[in-house]
Amino acid sequence: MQIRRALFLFLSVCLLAGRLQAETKQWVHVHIEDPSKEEKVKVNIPISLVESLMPMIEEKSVEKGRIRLHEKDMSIKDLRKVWKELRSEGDNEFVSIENKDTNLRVFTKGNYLMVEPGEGSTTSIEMKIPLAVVDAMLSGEGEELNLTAAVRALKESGSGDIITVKDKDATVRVWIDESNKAR
Amino acid sequence: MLFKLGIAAAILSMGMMTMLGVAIHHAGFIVVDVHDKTKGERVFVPVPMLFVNLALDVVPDQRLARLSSRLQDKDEWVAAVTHELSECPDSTFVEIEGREDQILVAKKGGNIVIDVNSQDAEVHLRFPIRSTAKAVARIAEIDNQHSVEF
Repeated sequence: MQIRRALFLFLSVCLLAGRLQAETKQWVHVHIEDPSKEEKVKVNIPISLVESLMPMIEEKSVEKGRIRLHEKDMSIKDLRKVWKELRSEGDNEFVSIENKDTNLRVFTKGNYLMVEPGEGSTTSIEMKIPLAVVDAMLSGEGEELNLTAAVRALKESGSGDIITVKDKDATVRVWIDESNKAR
Repeated sequence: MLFKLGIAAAILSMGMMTMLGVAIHHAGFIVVDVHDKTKGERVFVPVPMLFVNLALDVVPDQRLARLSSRLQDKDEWVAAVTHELSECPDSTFVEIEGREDQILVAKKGGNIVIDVNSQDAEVHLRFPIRSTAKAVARIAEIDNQHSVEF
């Protein structure tokens, strides 16, 4: 009798654990709407699947989940140095972009790298990227971005909006949650 | 006596047919369904994965060498992706709605479904995740053995 009870309890715990694991699986969602072209793109993929797919991406500039950027366009080495300096300064506003259409602020706040629109900006761009993701992305060697590590850090960072762009032509939203369906 | 033997043979063949049917159903089908709207033609090809996997055992390794070289060292990733796809619930992964075209990539009941609907054609592709991964792993394995032989 006790064995039966123990077996039943064990099975119940296994089922509950399996269910909890299934429920806590995180999904990355990308939604793009372009009303002018009457186009809608919706992508919903488990982050763990993206993580598994990363090493498969083998193009000229991508090797083992790491992007190799052209030295002439941008030096990742330098970017890594700058990021290290900025990171050590704590919460700070790094960049402010102002032109006739766009007014943007780039800054760190707590554990996030933030991009927010300033006053009078016609394009609304909002980004909230965990610092751990940027750290992981810049953890490659030489002129490489470590995408696999970035995806892994994103998975560990939890749910929430990452990128929201509202333009007169298009709307882009990238977020993470525990649902396989778009909100 | 002959009558009894006949009945036994019929039961045996029916049992074998049923088992074969169950095995085919279990392995699933690759389905390619193309409807050319301009010509009004339709091509519907259901391929049982059981036969694909059996064919891979029969085809000489050399014939698959070129295909398998592309899969070299990817068998672990295929296994990881298959595991992830099998674990996740039925979902729509990609949905593109344009003025003239619609594309859908989804997981439905252990299958990956790809639907493309444009002005000219309607294409429906379906393949079972586990059986396809098994076939891919088999091809990759052939390549490994093949490279060792050489």
